[in-house]
Amino acid sequence: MMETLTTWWGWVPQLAAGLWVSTQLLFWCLLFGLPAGLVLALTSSSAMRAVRWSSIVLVEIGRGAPALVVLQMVYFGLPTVGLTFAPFLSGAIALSLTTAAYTSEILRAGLQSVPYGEVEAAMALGMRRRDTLRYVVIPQGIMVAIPALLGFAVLMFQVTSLAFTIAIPELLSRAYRIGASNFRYLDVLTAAGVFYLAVILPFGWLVSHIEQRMSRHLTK
Amino acid sequence: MTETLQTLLTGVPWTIAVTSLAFAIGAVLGIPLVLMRRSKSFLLRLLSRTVIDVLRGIPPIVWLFILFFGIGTSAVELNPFEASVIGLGLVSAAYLAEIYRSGFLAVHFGQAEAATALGMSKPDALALILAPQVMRVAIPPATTYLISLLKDSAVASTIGVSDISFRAFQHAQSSGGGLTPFMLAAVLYILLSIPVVWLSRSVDARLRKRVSR
Amino acid sequence: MDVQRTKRSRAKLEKPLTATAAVDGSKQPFADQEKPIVKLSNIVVEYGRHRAVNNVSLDIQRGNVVAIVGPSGAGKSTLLRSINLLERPVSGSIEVCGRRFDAGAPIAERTLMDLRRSTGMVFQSFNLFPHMTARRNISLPQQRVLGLSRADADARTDQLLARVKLSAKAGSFPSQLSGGQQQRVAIARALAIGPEVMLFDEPTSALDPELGLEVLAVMRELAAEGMTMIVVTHEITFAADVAHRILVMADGAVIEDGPPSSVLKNPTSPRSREFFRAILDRQ
Repeated sequence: MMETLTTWWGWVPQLAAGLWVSTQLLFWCLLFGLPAGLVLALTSSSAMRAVRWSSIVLVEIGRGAPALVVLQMVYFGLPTVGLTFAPFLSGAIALSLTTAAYTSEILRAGLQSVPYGEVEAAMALGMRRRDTLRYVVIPQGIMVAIPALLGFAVLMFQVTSLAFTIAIPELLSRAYRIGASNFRYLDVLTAAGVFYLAVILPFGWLVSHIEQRMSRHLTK
Repeated sequence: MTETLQTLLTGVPWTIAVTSLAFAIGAVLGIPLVLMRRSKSFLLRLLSRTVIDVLRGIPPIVWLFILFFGIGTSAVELNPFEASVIGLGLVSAAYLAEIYRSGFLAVHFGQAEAATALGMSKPDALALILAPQVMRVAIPPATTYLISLLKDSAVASTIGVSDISFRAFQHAQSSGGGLTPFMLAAVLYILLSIPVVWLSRSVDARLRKRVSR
Repeated sequence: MDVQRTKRSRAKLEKPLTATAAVDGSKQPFADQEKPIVKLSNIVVEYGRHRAVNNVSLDIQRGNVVAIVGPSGAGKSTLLRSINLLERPVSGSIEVCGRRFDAGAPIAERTLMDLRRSTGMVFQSFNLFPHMTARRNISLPQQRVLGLSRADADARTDQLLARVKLSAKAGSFPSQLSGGQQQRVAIARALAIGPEVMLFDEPTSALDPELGLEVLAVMRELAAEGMTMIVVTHEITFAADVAHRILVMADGAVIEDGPPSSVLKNPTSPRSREFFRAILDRQ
């Protein structure tokens, strides 16, 4: 028992470094994916048919294709058409696409929850459509979407583990590499699982707490 | 392109098999989990909640690795397919238990009281009165989950199940075939999800007629 | 109905009217005093196959207060909302402050914004922006529509809040205000962009009677200052008291049009007689 613990302890620096890479990956895919998701949310209800349909198709493909396939498409597929990115950047790009597609649906629901009367009031005041979106619809829509977006971010943290397949040294990759060197796969993979739990469970609880508080606030 | 498509199509049965078997395991194992979650015993509730949280809190690919590389090489022999089905099945059980639970919450508690008042035994009330109504409420979210499981099943390729994404990867490597195999794979996954949506709509419509609320 | 009071307040209103639309007075008053400030010609508005407004023509003079009454579903709100083009008529034309819009013709965003700047609208459900304080609700449109600086907008906002007697509530969010207070903020917000015509869409229908009174008081003051007002309302007393002209609508058409004295006392059509009898029975 003591021996196991000591071995586990020896892995911690490696696994922690992997966890840090996973976190960075999550950070970048949210940083690019969320604004892109907002743009897609707006364009997928655009009055211009071509804009609307191309956004809807993009969103449906982004949501319908497994994240794993998107990752491999960016990392293995794009170089053959002359676009080669380093593993980490490929991962960030691919997961940003997935993030954009999913969050666009969440944000669209948020934007649609803003009562149309407020849009009419802004129009009647002579505000431009752009200003109406920027000051009236988008701030409120984002507020409504926040719990779902946080829930999505927690889920996305799990998805970063797929970056293993394109050689990004994130948590799962490090665990696997340790396993490959000493064949104690069960131990080290379980340790990696504990690392994931240690991040995901507290954040999951926090998100459901925020969700409950916001829903109470909204029904008040 | 035709050749690529033919290669990818050989992966379709594996994707369908992993998804449907994992879903079946989850649908069955989700039942004891939800019954424990709703039990009067604090210990059972705690146990169920812990199991659900742990299953859902670790990424599916990590579960597959634990089963395949961790367990499958020592005590019991597990081939990639078995490891995938069991791993994704366990994760599904946790998600489906939560879906069942929201179904129970949606069914009016008066229904259970009415059944007991009629002198029905508890198991009878559960099986005959509550379960059909819970199922009816649970079907739309369960379908949504089935579609996301279909996409998650792609992780089976990472331990060597020759499903759609495995074939796409393999084909791209061997032929230097660029974007096409991956794009086609994406389209195949989307196409596979369409019948699921149809099926759920028709099941939902039939149940709605029988168990109208 | 209090005939005595009716006469008195009308006498007050019939003195020469000055345009006080813009708070800072910088806006050019509408030049041609003879020409109607709002002119609707053969307006038709349809929802699918239902004709909500059926061929209505209407001239409204500057400084007039016009009440539109009638049973629900008569097309009153739709007619009002087509004046600032929140509803697009399928045929006919509107002319507001000399700007003409023909149904079917494409309208540039710029022109549409100008039309809406010259009109202010107050809604039945207030439609304040719930994530902004009362002050921000009023100052934001001044910054974005009139191009004022934050400081100028805030200064004008404080005057407007004082005018609707809500200076103390400047920092409150809509959810912290009563319905009557919210509606007064909404009136101040509509006035903030310096409109020449105010459109009221059942401004008191969502309010308890005593809260409706404080809103009506603000509207009376506005009328006394000479603001051109078009008011869709169920408040017959208010209409009788303040309006220069009452329109009765039924089935998308104007069936009665004249000064309150004649419309209320001697309605010509049987439908409007029936409508007024029903209203008076209720009160």
